Amino acid sequence: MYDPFHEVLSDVRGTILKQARALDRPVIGVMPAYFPLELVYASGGFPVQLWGNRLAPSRADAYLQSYCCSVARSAMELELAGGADMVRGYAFTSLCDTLVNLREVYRRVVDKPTVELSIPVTQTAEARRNYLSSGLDKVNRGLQEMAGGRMTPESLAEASELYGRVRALQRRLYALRLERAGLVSNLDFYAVLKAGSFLGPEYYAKLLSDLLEKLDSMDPPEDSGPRLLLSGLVYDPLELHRILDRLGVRVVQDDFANGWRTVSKETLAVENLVEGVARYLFGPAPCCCLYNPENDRHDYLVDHARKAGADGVLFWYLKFCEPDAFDRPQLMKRLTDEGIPSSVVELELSMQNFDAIGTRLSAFCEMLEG
Amino acid sequence: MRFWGGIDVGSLSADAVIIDEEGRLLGHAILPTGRDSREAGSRAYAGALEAAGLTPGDVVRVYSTGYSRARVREAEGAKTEIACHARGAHALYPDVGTIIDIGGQDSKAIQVGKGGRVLNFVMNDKCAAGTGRFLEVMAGALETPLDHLDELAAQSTETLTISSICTVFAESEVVSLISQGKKPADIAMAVSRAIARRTVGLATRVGVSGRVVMTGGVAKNRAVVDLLAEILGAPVDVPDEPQIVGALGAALFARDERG
Amino acid sequence: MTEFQTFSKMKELMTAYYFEAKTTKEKPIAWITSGAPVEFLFAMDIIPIYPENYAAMCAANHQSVELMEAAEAQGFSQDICAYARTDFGADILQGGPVGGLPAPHFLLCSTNICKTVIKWYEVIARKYDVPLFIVDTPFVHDGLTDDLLEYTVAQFKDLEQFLARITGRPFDHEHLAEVLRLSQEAAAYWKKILFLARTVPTPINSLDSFIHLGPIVTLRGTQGCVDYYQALYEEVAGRAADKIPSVPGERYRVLWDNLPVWFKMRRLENFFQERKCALVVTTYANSWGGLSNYEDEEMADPYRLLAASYLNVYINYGFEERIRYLSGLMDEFSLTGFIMHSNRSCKPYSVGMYRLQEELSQRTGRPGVVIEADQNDPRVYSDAQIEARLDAFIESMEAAS
Repeated sequence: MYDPFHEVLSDVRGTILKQARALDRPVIGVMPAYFPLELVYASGGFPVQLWGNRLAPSRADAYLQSYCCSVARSAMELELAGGADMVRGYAFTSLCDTLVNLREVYRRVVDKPTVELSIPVTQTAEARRNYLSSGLDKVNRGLQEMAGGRMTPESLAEASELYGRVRALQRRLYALRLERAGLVSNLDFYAVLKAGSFLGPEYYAKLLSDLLEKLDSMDPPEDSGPRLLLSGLVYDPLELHRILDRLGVRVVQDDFANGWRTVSKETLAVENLVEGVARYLFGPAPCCCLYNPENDRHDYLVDHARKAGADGVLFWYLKFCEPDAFDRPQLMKRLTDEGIPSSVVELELSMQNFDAIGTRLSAFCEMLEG
Repeated sequence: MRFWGGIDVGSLSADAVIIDEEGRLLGHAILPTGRDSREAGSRAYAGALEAAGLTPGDVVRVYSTGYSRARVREAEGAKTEIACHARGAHALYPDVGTIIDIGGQDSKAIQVGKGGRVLNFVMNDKCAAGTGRFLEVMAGALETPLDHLDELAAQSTETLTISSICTVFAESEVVSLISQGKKPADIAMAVSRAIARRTVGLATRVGVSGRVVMTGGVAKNRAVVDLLAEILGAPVDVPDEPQIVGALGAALFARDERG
Repeated sequence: MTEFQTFSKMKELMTAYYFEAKTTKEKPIAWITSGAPVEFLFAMDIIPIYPENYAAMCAANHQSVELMEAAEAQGFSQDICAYARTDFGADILQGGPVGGLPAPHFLLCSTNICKTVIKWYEVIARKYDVPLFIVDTPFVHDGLTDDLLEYTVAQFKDLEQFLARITGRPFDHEHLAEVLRLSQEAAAYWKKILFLARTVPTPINSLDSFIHLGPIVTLRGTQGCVDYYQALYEEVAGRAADKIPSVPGERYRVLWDNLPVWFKMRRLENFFQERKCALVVTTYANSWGGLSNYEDEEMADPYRLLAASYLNVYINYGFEERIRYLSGLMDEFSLTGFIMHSNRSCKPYSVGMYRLQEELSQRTGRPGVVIEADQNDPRVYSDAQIEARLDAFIESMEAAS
């Protein structure tokens, strides 16, 4: 049932090439996070989301220090090793200090065009709108040059509908997982989600609908292990979900930047693109990387965990991600105060040995099961 | 009479115990793990049986723990070392509140509640600072056997500081202190203080309450234990055999399983 | 450190500043980042407190490890900026040279030095339950544009409203004009002092300028700050005229990029003295001279002038501009080489540095070295490793000369 998704992940390169051919669109690499794929698609490109990979940095070491996160390092490794040769250009957002500088490195080292969506985080509403407006103009011009298409109201509406549909289907999968915990294994769930990063929206939507249809009539196994909410930047490495499966953990909800924080976003409103993108960026789920006091992460996470009936929260810490690391101690304290147990694991995308983390995870489960 | 066994196979040592219905310790063995962890677990178990004067047939059930817990041939069940240290330490000290366990590859602080339940725990970051491995490297740099490090530190007269977190950097600090002609005793003390400080950080994160018990091989190092107590401002108890606490916990879990 | 007469004055100035901040009953306290527009605060008689400055003081006093450990014990990862950890610890223990900072009434932070400050200040805002005002100064990839200036100016105007609400009185525009004048004047003196280092041999070295940064960071916009830098300028100018070198027998002239290693100031100073190597100019100390870069005619609107100077911060600029600026300094200050501090705590300064080093060496034909260190955390610093690299670098300058 999940084979089509796992097949994508076992041959990401082949998948992208095939999809690009079928779509007849140039591949645009989209870096983390929240760059609206709709804009790329509406400009004639095929957006592929690059959230790092399992390559251990070697060539990228010549440019990025060991204290850069493994998302940045492995993404650059992929490019320098020739693995991203089909990518015509890159789309960045100004998500964090590392990514902002990474774009500058790319501009000097990688002979490919880049655009950056500079995300304003001021609370001065009008200024935010104006700045975002001029920023979007720049981005859209850059994307059209890169992808060779023309962004029109029609192409925007089409892209918005397609990606809106994809996220709506993903939300159905999330809902299913919550209601029938254990029905989809953690590994399968995130494989389904991740496969979407490399597929055209129409094709992916078809795969998702087929899957949902099959799942609709299925019942979850008898109650087993603890229900967890995972919180972090990226849901990788997938290997860790295999361990969670082995421990009988049922992940019922998440707070990943490339998980629920993105999936929860409504269809991009394109009639007023500036307003639409602003809404898209800042809600509904808050992110550690985008300052937004109107939507506090603390209340949100407590509420999110309660609604999911989670027994505990596991922080999925990608080493050297400062925005995530700053928030965590206070978040954990808040969760403790609310009677929600939490724990943290430290990860790198290229990690090979999961023994120590496995021990931590099982100890956390033992603790939850009392 | 019915008996139960616990086997703890960690990265450096394989430890096994045999207990009776009352949880009394009848025999134990501590062996280096070596390359074959499965074999090491079996040998430790055989050693514990021999010490208890029993044969495998006398034992109802065995549980394993430690990094290689899944590889232990004799075990019918497994628990993490976190749960087992809590359970074992609680059996020895019913009023234990906080456990500090410094093992070869990792160190952890565990908050223990009623019945030896784990309330919370934290473990060291992936780097080796604050672990037994750190002490081993430093002992190597000082050309002193690991188990003599505390005797050496006891003769310290001058306070020196090792500041690096990284084991590699810390080693180069030790080397440069040696080349400056600093006394090995003072360096040994500085090394012990470095590891104690790192560990106090862990303990504070988990919250220090009730009796503090230290387990794991490094608990045999008096200098580290005394410094821990000094920095924490609380007494730190060490069981007679701090290395077998995990195995004891595993045996207790084996005993408590129904059937 | 070069023995300047003026130094004792700085100590007085800084002591008085911290004393007032710790004891005031009337004036509100704002915690503020080093690159935030402090002029607005002085205009409303608010005392600015700089956690960054305090963290550096803690490290220079060799107190940062204990403080960082206190923060780490609360779960703050060793991966986060060491300034933030030091300050969190100082707040937990009420530690450091003045026994902790006075509690804030509100916070003001600007993103021109990093986005990390947002996270850092969010933690403080939650802890003290006080408002946080952010002046977002986006990264300038391709030169200053109107949209950037307008965006920043709009936020300044909003900040005025915010301050009026906090203090309960209308924003004092007249006072702002006065503060701005003083701030520009201080920045101009500071820049003139740093430019005296163009003299061969240099009368002032970068370790001096790091030490003398305190007032321009914390007190720009006050008369005391202007007076201080005027006095320092006169003293350094006198030494320049008399050809008194700050490093006797100056043989190498070097640029330092990135923050200082605050906990190794003395050791590094001795190291460079022995090797007759003068650190002549730094991108870091230069960052506070920016306000004087714009002539009044050029920027008639004071808001645009402020916006331009707060956006135009070295680490808020793209690499093309950084390279251009760096190679300009290499020539202007007659440098023989450059040192780049790859600073674990400061990603905007450090990420991409290897490439900058390569390009700058190529463009100028002069050797450069990258050292792996940290501004505030001695636990990730290795004397042996760093000094070996620096020695090799000095040898390469020898070979090139």
